[in-house]
Amino acid sequence: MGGALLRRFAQGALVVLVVVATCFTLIRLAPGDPFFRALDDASVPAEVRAEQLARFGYDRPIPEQFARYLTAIIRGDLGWSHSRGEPVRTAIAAALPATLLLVAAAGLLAFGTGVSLGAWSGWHAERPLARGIDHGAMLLLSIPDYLWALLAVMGPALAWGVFPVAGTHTEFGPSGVLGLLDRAHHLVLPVLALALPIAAVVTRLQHAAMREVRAAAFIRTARANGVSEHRIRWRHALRNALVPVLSYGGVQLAAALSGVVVIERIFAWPGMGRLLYDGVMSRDYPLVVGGVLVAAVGTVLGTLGADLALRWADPRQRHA
Amino acid sequence: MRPPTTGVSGAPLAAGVLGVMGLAALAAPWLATHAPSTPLDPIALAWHPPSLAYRLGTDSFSRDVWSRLLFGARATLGIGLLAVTVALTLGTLVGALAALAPRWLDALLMRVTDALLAIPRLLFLLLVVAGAGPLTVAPLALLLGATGWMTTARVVRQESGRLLATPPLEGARALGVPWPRLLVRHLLPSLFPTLAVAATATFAAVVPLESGLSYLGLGVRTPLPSWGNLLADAGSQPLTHWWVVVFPTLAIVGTVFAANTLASALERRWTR
Repeated sequence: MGGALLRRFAQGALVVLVVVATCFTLIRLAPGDPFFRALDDASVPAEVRAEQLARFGYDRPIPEQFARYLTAIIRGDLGWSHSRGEPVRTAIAAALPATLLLVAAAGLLAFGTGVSLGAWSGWHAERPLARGIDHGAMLLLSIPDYLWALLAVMGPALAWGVFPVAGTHTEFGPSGVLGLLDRAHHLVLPVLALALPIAAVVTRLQHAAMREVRAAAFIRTARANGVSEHRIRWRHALRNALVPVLSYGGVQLAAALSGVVVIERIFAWPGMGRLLYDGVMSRDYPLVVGGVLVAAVGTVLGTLGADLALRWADPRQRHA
Repeated sequence: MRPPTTGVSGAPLAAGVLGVMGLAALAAPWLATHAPSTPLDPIALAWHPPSLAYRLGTDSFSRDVWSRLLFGARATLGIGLLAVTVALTLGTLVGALAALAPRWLDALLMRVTDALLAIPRLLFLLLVVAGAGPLTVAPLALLLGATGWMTTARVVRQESGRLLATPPLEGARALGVPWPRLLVRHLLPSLFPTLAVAATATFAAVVPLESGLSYLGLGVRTPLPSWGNLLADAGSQPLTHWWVVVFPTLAIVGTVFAANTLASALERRWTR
């Protein structure tokens, strides 16, 4: 198992390298440069721009720039964000907690409700309510996250003013316990918009898996051996039926990150999605690549975590 | 023993919905009551609620929503179809070739696929859209297709591996059938069910993506209508001008719901 884990780590590192190299190249191939907002003016002589580009080494060939970037990373230096006027590390340190909070809350909500609803409805697949849950989940997953955001802003937020629509907290708002409540209040809509489509997919996967496992031979054997129905359902069946959900969870991470970009933009959430969006729009090369690096590492770690959970749930995977 | 299938399959209904949407898009010039992109009367007819003359009302520029919805279907569904074609072709090629190729090439192709799958797709699209500036319809569709083939490649690789181990294909291989012929004559026909499921699922993923990009102003640009940018036309008062939001929403959700239902029904019927 140790060797397999080491191999997965190496593969993960390779994936991060490919992802970062791709984005590093793409953003440099895009028209414009980090100074276009300040220097795109007829009165600015070409030498000034050339000097600026040379100062940060952007006039060198891309492979050379990438090699320099990699050696800088090893020293823990992510570079300078031109658009924010601060080190990239500082910008990411400020944005990462907001996104982690959003993703963790949405993930817990999505997988919690998805697994329990799906497991129950899959086990009782013939009941009308169970069928309703499955069809309802199908409808929910057909509503894209930006539409959720739009509907959420339309309804509870704008019309009735029940939930705030922008930011993580009220400016100059309360502190202490009330401050925490204020933050939770701001979290509701973005988390719902992010979590609902994922919860719907998890529900359907869990439903299908539980339904199939119900008829499996090992369940019949357990029943014949006199294992209690409760234990069969929640130990034997659920653990087995978690496998597709867990493998989906790993793959879903990158997709969830796409959702984060949209949701953070709509709800003015100061996280990694906003950082990446703003970075791309202002051609802030170091900011974009630094953000992508963090996102890729997070995705790979998440996939590894899902793999480990998979090994726990399905002993066959340990020998694969 | 498989549990008996319960309930009515929604597949015929779903296929019907998609068919009607497609026909409406094709027949847009005959079904539309007004020109989709020209304002009718910006002073008198802006934000006109649904009526007999303007079936689904008008938007802030006094353009007829019903007509824009019909022509928007051309953009949204057309881009979806083209993107699916591109994604399916690329995905099938990579997946099937990886299955037929020597082990090192197989591993290389699939690890690169995994790596690309780890990049948030929207970020990738942003990088390109931000770089290339406003895209027209065809490049947008190609881009969506070029960034959406990885899931198909993985499914095709898995299924091809299974198929190549079955007696007919193993036999063909043992008889020395060259690989291009093996791919086209033996592998592709057996892959058809998998590809049909992948196509519907990819379509169900591309439609929200295109409409989302267009909603954010990065996809199809107004005055050209697409279901996504119709939503953005509601501006900051979506509640008072509900008709500008509700009908495109229904169109998007209906289409995606139908495609998802069809994909899941096909999967149940063909790939078990």
